[in-house]
Amino acid sequence: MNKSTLSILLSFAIGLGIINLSILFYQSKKNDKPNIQDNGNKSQIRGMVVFQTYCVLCHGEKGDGTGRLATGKIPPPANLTKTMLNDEQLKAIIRGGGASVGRSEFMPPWGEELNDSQINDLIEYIHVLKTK
Amino acid sequence: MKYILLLMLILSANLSAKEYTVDQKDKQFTMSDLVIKVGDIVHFRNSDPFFHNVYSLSPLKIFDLGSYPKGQSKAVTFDKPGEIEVNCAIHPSMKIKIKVEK
Repeated sequence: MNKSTLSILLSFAIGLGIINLSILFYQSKKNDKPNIQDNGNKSQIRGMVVFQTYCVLCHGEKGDGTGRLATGKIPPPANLTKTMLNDEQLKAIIRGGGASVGRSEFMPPWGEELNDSQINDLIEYIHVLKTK
Repeated sequence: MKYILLLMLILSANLSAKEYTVDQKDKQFTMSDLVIKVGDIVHFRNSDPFFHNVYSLSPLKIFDLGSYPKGQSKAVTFDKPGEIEVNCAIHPSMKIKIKVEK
């Protein structure tokens, strides 16, 4: 086997390796996102839609507080995967916003935008985020 | 003399900066496009009876004005030329494009 054949084979192998690594990386990222389509109840699915429409910007896909708009915020958006708040406390902060309970003013009051049913669905989905 | 000239230069720059007001009404910005010059100031006024949260994630001008109620206005100075998309974090359909010219 001459040198040029060897270098072509080597380049091919490196190329395949890069493609495989890219696929693995994509799959690992894809799995980061909670997927409840298969086994979630309807409330959780509706809650996921609300979360992805309104909350993901600050709280991030995984709900860990690392959304695109989280950068530089002090305090940072809550890590919902580790929240210690009970449902009533979650409802209060979602409805009235962060400032209403002495927390971040960047958390808007959602009471005008989301109805009670949507807020309940959202809390169901937050429970899903906590188990991931 | 040098400092007087510098002061005059700063003052003239501030005087030439224009101020614009973009209203937020009926869950919409009152315009979809705005063309301004570098250094101009845009006031984002909330005229809706509920909160708005104006922000931009355009690399040219990243900001988040936080949520604020009816009657309040918050201002942003645009200091670099280019196009910036401004949205509302509470109402994802709200969008305005601001073109900043040299």
